[in-house]
Amino acid sequence: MLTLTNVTKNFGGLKAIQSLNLEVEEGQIHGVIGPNGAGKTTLFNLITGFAHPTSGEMFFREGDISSNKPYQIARQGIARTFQNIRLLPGMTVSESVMSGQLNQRITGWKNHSTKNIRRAKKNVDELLDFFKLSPYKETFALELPYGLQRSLEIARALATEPKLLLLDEPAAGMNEQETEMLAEDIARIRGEGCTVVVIEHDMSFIMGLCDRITVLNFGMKIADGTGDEVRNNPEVIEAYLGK
Amino acid sequence: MDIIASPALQIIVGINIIMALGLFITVSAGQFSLGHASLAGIGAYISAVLTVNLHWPFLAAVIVGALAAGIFGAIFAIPALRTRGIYLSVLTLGLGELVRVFFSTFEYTGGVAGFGGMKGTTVGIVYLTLLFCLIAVGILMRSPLGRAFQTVAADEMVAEALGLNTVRLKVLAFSLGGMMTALGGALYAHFMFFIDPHSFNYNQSVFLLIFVVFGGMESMWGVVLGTLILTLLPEYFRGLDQWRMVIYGLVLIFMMAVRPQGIITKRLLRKVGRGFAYINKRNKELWRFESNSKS
Amino acid sequence: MLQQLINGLMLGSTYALIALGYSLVFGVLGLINLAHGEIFMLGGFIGLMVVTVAQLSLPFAILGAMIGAGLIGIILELLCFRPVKRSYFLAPALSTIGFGIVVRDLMVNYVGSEPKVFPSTVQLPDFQIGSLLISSVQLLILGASLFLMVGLTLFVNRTSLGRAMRAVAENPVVAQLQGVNVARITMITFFVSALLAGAAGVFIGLRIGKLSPFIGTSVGLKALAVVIIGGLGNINGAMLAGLLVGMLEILASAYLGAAYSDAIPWTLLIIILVFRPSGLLGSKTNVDRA
Repeated sequence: MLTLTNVTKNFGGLKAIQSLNLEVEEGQIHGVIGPNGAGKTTLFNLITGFAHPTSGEMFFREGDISSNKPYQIARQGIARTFQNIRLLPGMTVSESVMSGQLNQRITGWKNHSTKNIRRAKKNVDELLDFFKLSPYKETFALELPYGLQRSLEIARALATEPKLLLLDEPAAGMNEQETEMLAEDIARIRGEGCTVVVIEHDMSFIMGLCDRITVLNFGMKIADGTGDEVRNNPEVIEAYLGK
Repeated sequence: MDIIASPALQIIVGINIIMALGLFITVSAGQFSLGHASLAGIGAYISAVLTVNLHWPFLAAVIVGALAAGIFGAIFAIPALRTRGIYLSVLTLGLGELVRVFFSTFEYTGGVAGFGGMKGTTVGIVYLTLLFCLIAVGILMRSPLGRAFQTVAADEMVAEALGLNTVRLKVLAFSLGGMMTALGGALYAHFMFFIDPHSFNYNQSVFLLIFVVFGGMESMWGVVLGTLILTLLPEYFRGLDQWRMVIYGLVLIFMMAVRPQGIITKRLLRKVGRGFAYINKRNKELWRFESNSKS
Repeated sequence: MLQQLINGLMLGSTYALIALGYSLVFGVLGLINLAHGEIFMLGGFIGLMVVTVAQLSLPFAILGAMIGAGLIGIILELLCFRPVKRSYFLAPALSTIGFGIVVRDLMVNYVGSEPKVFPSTVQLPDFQIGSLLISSVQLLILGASLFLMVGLTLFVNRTSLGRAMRAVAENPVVAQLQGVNVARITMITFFVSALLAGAAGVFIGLRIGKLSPFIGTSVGLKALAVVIIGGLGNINGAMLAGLLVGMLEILASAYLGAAYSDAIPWTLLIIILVFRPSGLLGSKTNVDRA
């Protein structure tokens, strides 16, 4: 579904990503781990168009997305969340999720119709239900407790009806209970037909959840495989423990 | 109460609100333009030339003036796309100044001496236009396009990640906002009979921004209220007219320190809305109670 | 032509002095002080009053103007910066706009909108180098401007106060942790930037021979364009851009006419903002700060 071929990203003199080859298969939950500064968020920025590769190519469902703008990539079906939650001030929970529906056929002149708006509202309600946010429909997004804010951000990303969802450290700051619920939610998302890529630090979270894991260090891929394969990889162990 | 009856004041208030609403549209997408008065000026000059030199009918001239300003608004947006925050504001300030310099040196419209001969604005026309603008802005803000504007204003990166073409949206915000402000400008020209480049300079742009910010830029009613208060206040205290600008300045300083979101905010509107709903509910309960006890 | 360059230098040094003030406040506090132009105007009038009302000589005028402007700068900080919550990014800038309007309008009410004559109390000979005529006034102004600019650079780079200011510019939180009294430094920043503006006000009065309450807006705003052209927050950039824009403006005025020369700073600004938003000498980080 998503293929990165020999992608390199340089920022001035800094090699953020080096000759990365990555393959994400449809219907999987794919994890990306690595120590801080390994280039994980840069990877997400590249995939979603907020940064462009210095060299190499990126393909999403057979289409070349290497030089696409972020909004184009979003419309093609890749959605993301951000490391520090970026919820919009001044919006309620339902408005926040609705903002994800805005590009789905209802901002253009020709496509503006009551039927589409009704459909959009229905989608929003379904998503709120999915994440158990319905009771908070009219609350201002920033007034929610932290864990629910995270869920809201994911809900909003899903509102764009993506085929691929990128989650940037969704478990950050969560306790065990919340992390478990998050893992369940992600599994349910995959169940609805959406492929998921997750960046995380929490090893056990990733190991327990992901079908496949890619390990980055200093912008390079040092391992790629199932949880077991990665866990026993000596380079990975050194990267994490040999510091 | 004599003052309210003055048609001149009624017209000025109406025109100010129309222009402020235009800026409101642009600001709703996060574009704090300090050059909007110059767009009003473009609308004013173009419509003036059409009626005075080319003898066009009043209505057609005003509409064309506004549409032309809409195009310039889009042109303004192009360099603005590369800027954010205060840089954007200073850029629009610069663009506004360039427009002013242009009209100061353009002999066909009289240069610095100005241009005259326009008439045709009446109270009725202004308030009809105002009604139209209020309805238009109201619909816009609740529409997906308006919501898209607000998303861009809140966080551009997120807006892009949600699939919104921020470039197109920002250009639209400048264009539509410019059109409405220019509508006010054209009406102004045909009311004042005479305009010159200084009628639409940086100061006027600042006033428009103050109107929007003071009243509350989260809602259209905030803009209306803010413009009303700030335009009428110096009129009511006659002696204050001379100190009008000082008042505006002090108001701005005060508001920024105490309530920078403006007088009317979304939160306030919800509380008011909830208050009404509560009163409604209680009324219904009491009514039911009474009709029950009667039977 | 050379004469024009000298005139350009004069205008440029005025721009540079005002631009330095903008740059200082932005560099240290991340705020654009839109009342800066009015402080410059006020300094000029204070200097004028020192000379006409108090009947004192020029050096006193300059000093008085600087200190007076500095005090206004402190009031500005107390009203428009300190009480304003920084969460709303445009709020302090808008507040300074308000302050500027108040100062300007009070001045208009006080002295009228017509320009007032600024008497030249300098009775020194003029210099003639070839076909160039440089009046002693011009030389004085250039010298004083240079002195102030060098003084500021030394202050920022060599003194401990300057170091504290730079620390706050880098990161106010860390600076605070290192023991810097950020509130005090903020006030000092406004004060110093106002000092420069005040002096510039007297210089421009001397140079053109008259002073209007509106020069804060006309000259002050153009100086804002200058500072962005040079790179907000960069002291050398402000000076370089000031001189550059000043000269270009005078040249345009000579060859295209005064009305068109007004467009020069703004045209350059737009070009810079589109092609090189960080300014001639600025750094990318400052662009994100705004």
